[in-house]
Amino acid sequence: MSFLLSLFQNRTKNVAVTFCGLDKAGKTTMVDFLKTGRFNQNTHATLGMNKEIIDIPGLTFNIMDLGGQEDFRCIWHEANEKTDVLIYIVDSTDFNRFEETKEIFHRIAETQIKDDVVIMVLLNKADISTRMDGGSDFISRFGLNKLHHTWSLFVTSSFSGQGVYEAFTWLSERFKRRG
Amino acid sequence: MALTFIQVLFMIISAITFLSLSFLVITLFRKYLEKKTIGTMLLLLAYFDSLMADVLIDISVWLQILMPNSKIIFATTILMFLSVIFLIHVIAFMYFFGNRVALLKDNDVVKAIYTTFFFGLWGAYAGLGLYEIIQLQSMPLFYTIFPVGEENIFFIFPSINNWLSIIPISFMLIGTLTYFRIFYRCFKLARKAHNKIEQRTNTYNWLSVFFYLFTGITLALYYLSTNIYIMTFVFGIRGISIILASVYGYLGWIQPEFIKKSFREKTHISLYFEGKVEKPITPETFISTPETREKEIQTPVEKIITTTDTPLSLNTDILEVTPSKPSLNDTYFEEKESDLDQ
Repeated sequence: MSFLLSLFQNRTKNVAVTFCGLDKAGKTTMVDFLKTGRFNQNTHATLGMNKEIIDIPGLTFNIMDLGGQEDFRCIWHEANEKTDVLIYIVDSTDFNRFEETKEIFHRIAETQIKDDVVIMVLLNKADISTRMDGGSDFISRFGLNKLHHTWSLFVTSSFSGQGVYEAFTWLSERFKRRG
Repeated sequence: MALTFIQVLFMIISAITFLSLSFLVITLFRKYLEKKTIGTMLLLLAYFDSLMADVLIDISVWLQILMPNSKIIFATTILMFLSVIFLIHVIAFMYFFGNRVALLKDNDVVKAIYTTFFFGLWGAYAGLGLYEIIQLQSMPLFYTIFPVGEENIFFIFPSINNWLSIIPISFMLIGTLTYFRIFYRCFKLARKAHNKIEQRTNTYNWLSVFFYLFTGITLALYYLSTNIYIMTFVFGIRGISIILASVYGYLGWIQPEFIKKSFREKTHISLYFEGKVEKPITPETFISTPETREKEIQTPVEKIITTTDTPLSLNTDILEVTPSKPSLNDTYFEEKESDLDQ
């Protein structure tokens, strides 16, 4: 009986992932890096959303790369309401819009995603020297310690790949552990 | 009771067709639970009715072989009557499924005419069939018995030798036309497809519809000959067609993950997780390297940013390093205990 049941069981777990963040934070470049392993400097502003599927052993990430421009933020909630993972990308070199990105992030966390959604904050563009530090100060300033969700923070770079592998290893292990 | 070779063959073929259709219906049901769309529900209902029609024919075949007696003709009449009712529903559900997923693009007027005409015929068929069953007649008017030689196997289908034959013939024509239109659209979509997945899945779809259409044609072949070998051959061909229609339906309509995966190009991160590519070495100029992280764990520090002129000046040039609790500079997790238990 268990053999028959196993025939119908899907061995690969589907995980819905949304990429959010302000415009020019590097969301599409990050997705491109995941696809190709190379930095793509010719990306254009995402109009609406891009969909990508990434398979890793035992998991399939259905990625929705959401356009970060103000006009497209109104459609974020549709994708975020159904997501399993929220990947929020913060441009670590954009000091001027820190409060804006923080406010948007908390609005998403409080109103758009379910309680069991895993949040992964990527402090991106780590290859640029004049950037914010990804230490515990950032955690308190960004209000990550106030979240009710499971969260993680990685300092990443789509240019060098720094932190990207660690971030996705953490994410995949979390979902494999969930079974 | 010794079974003949032909009888065993009929029993095996009917069992295999039942299993293949059951597999398709179960996977479609799972797909429906996953997607919960009207299109998936219509397709599920179409194949569920198809399974029911097949089950009733299979039961009648098994009963005829294993429990031959005088009442079996009456039992078979009821089973075949219900089986044809289910087959008629298959056509209707496939028509609405085709329209739902834009394979057929009939406007509301055409849909209304189709529905009225179709269910008018359905009423006529059901009424006449029930009348004959209730009257317990030996099927002189509406049904004809098609015996398979001397093998105690027979099929009972609507007659086509009197004026009432307009009903089964109409159903056959409507069914063939509906399936042929869906087949043609899938065939065209497969040829015009822009990517491999689209092209393959549409090919599987038209193959599935083609073989399902072929099972209908095999039913028509029963009317042409009652020769034992021809009928056995036709039953066998029908069985194979159902199996192929189910397999291609599974690959095309359901699109199992292994099919989609086989067409997708491997991404860099997938290859990394499979151990086929190495993580690029981060140059020294980058802020965080595995070596610096290890060093930080050994001599834990917390970087405190002193704010000067603006409330939030996260300039990394101004850093005070003070000894503090251990921390990984670039990676922080917070996990709920409940999550870990899951």
